[in-house]
Amino acid sequence: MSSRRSASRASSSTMSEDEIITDLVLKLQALLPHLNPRQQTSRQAQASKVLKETCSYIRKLEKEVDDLSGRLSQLLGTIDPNNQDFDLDSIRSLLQI
Amino acid sequence: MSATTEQLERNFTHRFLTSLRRINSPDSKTTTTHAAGLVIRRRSLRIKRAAYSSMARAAGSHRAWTRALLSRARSQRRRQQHDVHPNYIPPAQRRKSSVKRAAAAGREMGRAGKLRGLVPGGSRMEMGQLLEETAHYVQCLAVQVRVMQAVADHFSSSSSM
Repeated sequence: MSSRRSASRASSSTMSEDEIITDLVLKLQALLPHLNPRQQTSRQAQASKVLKETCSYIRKLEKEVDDLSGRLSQLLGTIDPNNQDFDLDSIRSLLQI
Repeated sequence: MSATTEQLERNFTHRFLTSLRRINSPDSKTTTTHAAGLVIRRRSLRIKRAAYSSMARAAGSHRAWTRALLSRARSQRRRQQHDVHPNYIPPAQRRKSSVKRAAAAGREMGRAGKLRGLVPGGSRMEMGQLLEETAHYVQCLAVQVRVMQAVADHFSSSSSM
């Protein structure tokens, strides 16, 4: 990991930080679903779009965690803690893993 | 789904369910004198924290965001044990507080500022690492949501039987 860090530090002396950001952000885009910033004309604009979409996506997922925690809290109140509901296998079958 | 994502999902599911069982056990710290709404809200917070901690542990300590998240959770727990509000930061530490750093990161660090505030430990990372950690964090969050959804569906279908 330290070699990765020093490699980027070396390259930042030859490229502007903006270029590094743009480059890496476009790589990030490949890892995220439903992002289609290709309507933007410049690489810079594409990269900005990806950053913005990533932030929205994280916020959306975190909000879902909040909502699901609330829902689970309500549901836990209704089930008997000693029964089978916590068995791993039926939940695995729901997840198909 | 890739093999590693499957493994992550299994690992997270196991830890999360273990936490839920603990949270729901009759001898946990819920008193019947509290109004039902308050009990539900408090439990909801415990569930949320359990979800994030379980995911951070399942994802592994070789990731900076998992270490940052678990370290934040540890400080919050410590403050709670001393009857201090979990978000309270004592005056001596406030200048170095990560909350302020995250806000400052938003103001100062240009395009990635907001992202630094969202990814645990993001304010301390240089750009390459930040983007890599972000990608991993997002993938894990998606798994976390998917599993929590499945667990909730499972519980709601059993209770309606």
